Amino acid sequence: MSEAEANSGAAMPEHVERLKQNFQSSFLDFYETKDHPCVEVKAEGLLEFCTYMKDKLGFNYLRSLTGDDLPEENKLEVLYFFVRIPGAEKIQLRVKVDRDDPKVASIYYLWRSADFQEREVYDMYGVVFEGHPDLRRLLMHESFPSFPMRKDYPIGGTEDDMYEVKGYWAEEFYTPEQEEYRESRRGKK
Amino acid sequence: MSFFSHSEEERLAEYYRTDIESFFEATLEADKYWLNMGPQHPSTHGVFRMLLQLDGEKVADVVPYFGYLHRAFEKLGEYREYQMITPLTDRMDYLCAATMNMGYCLAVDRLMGIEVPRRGEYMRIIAQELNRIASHLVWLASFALDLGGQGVFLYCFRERERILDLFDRLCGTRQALTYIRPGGVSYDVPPGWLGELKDFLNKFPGWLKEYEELLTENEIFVNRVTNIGIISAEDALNYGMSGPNLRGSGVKWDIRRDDPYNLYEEFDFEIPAGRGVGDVLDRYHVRLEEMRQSTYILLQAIENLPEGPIMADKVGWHPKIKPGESSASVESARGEFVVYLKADGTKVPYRTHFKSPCLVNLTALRKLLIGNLIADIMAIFGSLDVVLGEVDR
Repeated sequence: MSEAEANSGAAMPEHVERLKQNFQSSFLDFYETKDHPCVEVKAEGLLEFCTYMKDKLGFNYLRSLTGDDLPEENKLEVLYFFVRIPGAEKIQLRVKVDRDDPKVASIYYLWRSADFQEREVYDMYGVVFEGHPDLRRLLMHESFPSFPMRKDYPIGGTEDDMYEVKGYWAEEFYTPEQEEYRESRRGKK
Repeated sequence: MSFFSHSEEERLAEYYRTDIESFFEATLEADKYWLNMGPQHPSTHGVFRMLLQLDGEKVADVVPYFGYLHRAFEKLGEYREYQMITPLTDRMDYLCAATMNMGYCLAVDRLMGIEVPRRGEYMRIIAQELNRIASHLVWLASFALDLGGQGVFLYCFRERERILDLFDRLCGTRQALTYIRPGGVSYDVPPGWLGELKDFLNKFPGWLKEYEELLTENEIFVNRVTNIGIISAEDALNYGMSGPNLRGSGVKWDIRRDDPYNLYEEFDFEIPAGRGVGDVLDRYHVRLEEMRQSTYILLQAIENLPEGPIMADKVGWHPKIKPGESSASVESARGEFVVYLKADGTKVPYRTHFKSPCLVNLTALRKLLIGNLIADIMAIFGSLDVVLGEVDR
């Protein structure tokens, strides 16, 4: 990514320096975003990395946790934003996982605030957080078949989801006459 | 599903199968029973559902359910231009729209490298603090109503109506403001508006005293909310609580002071933190005191309001933003609102994420409720100040 190249020479904050020394193998990349210093971490080493951050560096507050889809690289990424209270030192972690087999360790037992946020990332992107005690969908209903925040999921929903809606509670709106009428309206617009 | 191998699919199906029935069977005990609460319960302030496992009158377990108000703002954000996302943020926390606008606009400002004019920043602060007071008033009204104090409800809405009228004159809308925009604010103050605001602020401490006479000095109310829903400072941090809920546990953490945005560092205000117990009464005191502090901030802002433009020049209606990412966190009335934005060089963002403070505050609900009486559920839930529009987004 272009920003990473532009900032690769940026000075590292002290806590990032310590992380780099201790985790040579799982520390992949460092760059500055507009608000947080950002570290890319290998998915296998995440749990050790986070344990060190919490116990030794004192990052006691998980500010935000979210996911992102990178279809060109065939990856999904999980983003973690941490802050130290008091002191307001910040760090952002970025973990890339395989899009076909997305698995990453859960940080539920380190920061309980990850509970619902990990469930939401699982719900929206399908990332499986291993070790999470209750990994269910959070916002979509439990039999929803797709992961709606992935880039290949269309904004109006897919045919499969629509059929489900038809079957359950909107049958009368999907008669051939209604369908024809709707098509004609669509054409006019 | 195409993206999963067969074995993975099976594993996911296992997760799906943890539905209610198997959950019941696994946890069924002879002397405990399950009770459904919501989603249309009036005291949940929206559509929130929880399953309660009760042991006599005590709560033994809680399973919350979300998503009844899910409108997929994050997905919509990936299909809209930068200026078109600001109105979406209003609809998340409809009681405190200005801080939601602020979080998003701050992320855009950082992404574009915009220098906001001083008058614009001051107007942003005025809108946010005014809206914070209005939001806390709604909280106080509904909290008192949950506990049976119907008089306070009417008093609070009387004052909130004045604030909404002020907003109406400032930007044409009462609740869904869209007043704060990337680069500044949308309108300058109308003539005479600052005088009206000052008039309101001078009277407001007296009204606050009225509420305190009705609630803080009311023995029934105080006995009702003392020592229930306790959470320690360490737990509150670990469970990710933020805003008045975190400060109620004694952690003096306010993003306006500790990680300042806008020009909050120029203002003089205190950060209230209850008496250090972390119960419902503490959270109540913190919110009342916060309204008072917001009044002081507003008076300072009116006093020192600089002259000049209210909007930066180079923000257009259809801005294209260079590839990059930014995040912003602001102190909303309910806690820490974090926005993550990723731009890819086009007119629409690649990724928008809105971290909801209410959702994360609710993580601690299980810990807060277990062991308390069923009659205290609404007092504890109400003290968290949850807006379901923001939880589900």
